[in-house]
Amino acid sequence: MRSIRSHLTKVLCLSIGSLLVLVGIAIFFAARAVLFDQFDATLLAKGRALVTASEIDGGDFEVDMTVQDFAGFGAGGSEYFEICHPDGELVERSPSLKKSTARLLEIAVPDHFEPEIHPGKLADGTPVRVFVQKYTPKGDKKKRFQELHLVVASPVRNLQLNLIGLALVLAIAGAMAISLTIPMVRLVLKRGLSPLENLSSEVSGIAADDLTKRIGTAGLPKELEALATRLNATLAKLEESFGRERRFSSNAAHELRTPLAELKTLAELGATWPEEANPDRCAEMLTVIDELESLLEKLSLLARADAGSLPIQREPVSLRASILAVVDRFRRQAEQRELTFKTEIADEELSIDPVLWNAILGNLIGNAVHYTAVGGSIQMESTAKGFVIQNPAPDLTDQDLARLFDRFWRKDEARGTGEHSGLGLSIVNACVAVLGGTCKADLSPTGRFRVVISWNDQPR
Amino acid sequence: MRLLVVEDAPRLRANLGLALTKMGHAVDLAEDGPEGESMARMNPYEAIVLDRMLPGKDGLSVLRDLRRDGHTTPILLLTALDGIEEKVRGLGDGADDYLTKPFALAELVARLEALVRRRHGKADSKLRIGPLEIDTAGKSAARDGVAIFLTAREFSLLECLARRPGQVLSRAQIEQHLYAELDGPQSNAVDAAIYSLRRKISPEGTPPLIHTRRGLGYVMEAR
Repeated sequence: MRSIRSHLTKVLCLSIGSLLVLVGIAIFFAARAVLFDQFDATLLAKGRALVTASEIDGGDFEVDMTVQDFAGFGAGGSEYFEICHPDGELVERSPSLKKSTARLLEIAVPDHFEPEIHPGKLADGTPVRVFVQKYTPKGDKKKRFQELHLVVASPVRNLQLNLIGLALVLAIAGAMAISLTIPMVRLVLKRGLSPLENLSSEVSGIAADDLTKRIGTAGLPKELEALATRLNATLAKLEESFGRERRFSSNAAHELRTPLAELKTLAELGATWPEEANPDRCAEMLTVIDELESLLEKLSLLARADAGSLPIQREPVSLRASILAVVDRFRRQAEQRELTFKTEIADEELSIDPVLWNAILGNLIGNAVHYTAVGGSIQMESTAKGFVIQNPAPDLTDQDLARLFDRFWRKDEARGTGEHSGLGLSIVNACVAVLGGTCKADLSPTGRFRVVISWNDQPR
Repeated sequence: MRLLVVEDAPRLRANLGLALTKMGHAVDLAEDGPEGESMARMNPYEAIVLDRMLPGKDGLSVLRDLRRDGHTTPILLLTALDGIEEKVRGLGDGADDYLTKPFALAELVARLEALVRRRHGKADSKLRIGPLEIDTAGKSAARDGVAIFLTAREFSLLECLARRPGQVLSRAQIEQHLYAELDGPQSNAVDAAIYSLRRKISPEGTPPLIHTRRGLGYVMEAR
């Protein structure tokens, strides 16, 4: 697996190494240019000194010997010059060349009178810098030494040795720097990436079955703090989501287990004691089966709503007739509990799926009738834009509101009867969402519980 | 055995009570936590079947409060929650056993009997009083290897006496073990049941196993 640290180590070492090599080369060439400039400046000064020191004295050409000795042109010196006529006839040469009969070197002299410096080689192969200039010495009244060619050669071997020395120093220093770079880069990256590695090990330590863990953000650099905070938020969401799933599975199993236990006990009674296998017992079993069937239908409706496969067939539905029909279904139960209905229903039509609309109304009105205290009032308002139902719910708290739409949630955990499974509001929520509306619940300070359905986009 | 069933699901509660009664046990029923706790405190039950989720006060709270106050009656938690942590929690809070819904009646009864046996220090389901051998699991009794046919109520009385050999039990104590709260036995019901049981377990010519202590009650032992 690719590691950021080893990748960065490799890339940084290569980059720094390349940079060091380039810097070394740049230093070398810069130093070389400076040294050659200095060398040429010296050569130029010598050449000009020779031009200045040349004169015609009594018709003879002379070069001041002091200048020659000083500039290293004397016998045994390492600097050389030759002065000749334009036709090549030798006029003067430095004492350092006296023993040699060969010409200093063949080089073209410029047509103008400005000096020029070129690289060159002596006859014995010695590399030199060559100063060439066309000039006329002072005092040449008879015009015998017009436009003389001055060639000055200065060996560059020492300069080259110095440059080789510099190159060696740079190469050794570069190699040492590169060899030190690797451990330094490693150390810096180890320290620099340690918060990332700590974060990684913390994240690795979060087991899939334990989402309660969170990543510590104290001491994290700000770049990682944002990541850790985001991860923690994601973990919290996952935990909540898994918790809800777990609760749903557990509750679904729970809701099925109690009626199954009832069925099993009823069946065992009949099987063990034949006199108990009577019509009453069978009727009881049918009731349990009906309740189970109703529960499964609710679960199936929710599953289809979740999967987006709930068929919707909209048709015009009279608000008043549809709501009052459901109220009538619960009227007897409401009368037993001395509940009153207050309705304000607009005389409008709603384009809606009648089956889902009935499921919404049945669950909301059924819940209100079941949970409103004896003698209470249930209030409903409805237009084509929405539906509101409210009833007193003194036991409900603001904390309960957060879980109201959770599947199988009930205020009292005990689930003795199959009458209310705790799926009603989640079915309402799912049906409203499928129909393109929103469903909200709130609790007034006086303890009245209200469910508000808004149809966002009411198709006509 | 006299049992208490605390269960909020009405059909399950009634039918469980009926089945246990038909098996010869005296069964009291409670529909919520407070009622169940109050009955558990008032009556000497051999075992209690307690639902985990109850209205009013949940089963675990009832269990904890009973154990905190020193009640040692075996309690079997009955629940629809099957998670390991739920079981561990229930057992940790003082339940003696745990049964998940749906369950087989036979398993429930076997577990209750095992709990009661353990309470009386018995590892198996066999009780022996002299020549009499009683199998509390198989609900059978035999004297010198000869099977004795007993009604459920007679077997319950025999089991009640045999579990306490040499111990005098008053009529009131026997009533409490044999009859549920709502049974309301007649004044001579215990004497009549003792008479009937004596005839079956000690035929003429054999030494009696149930002895009367005048003014005190009855004791079972082989002399």
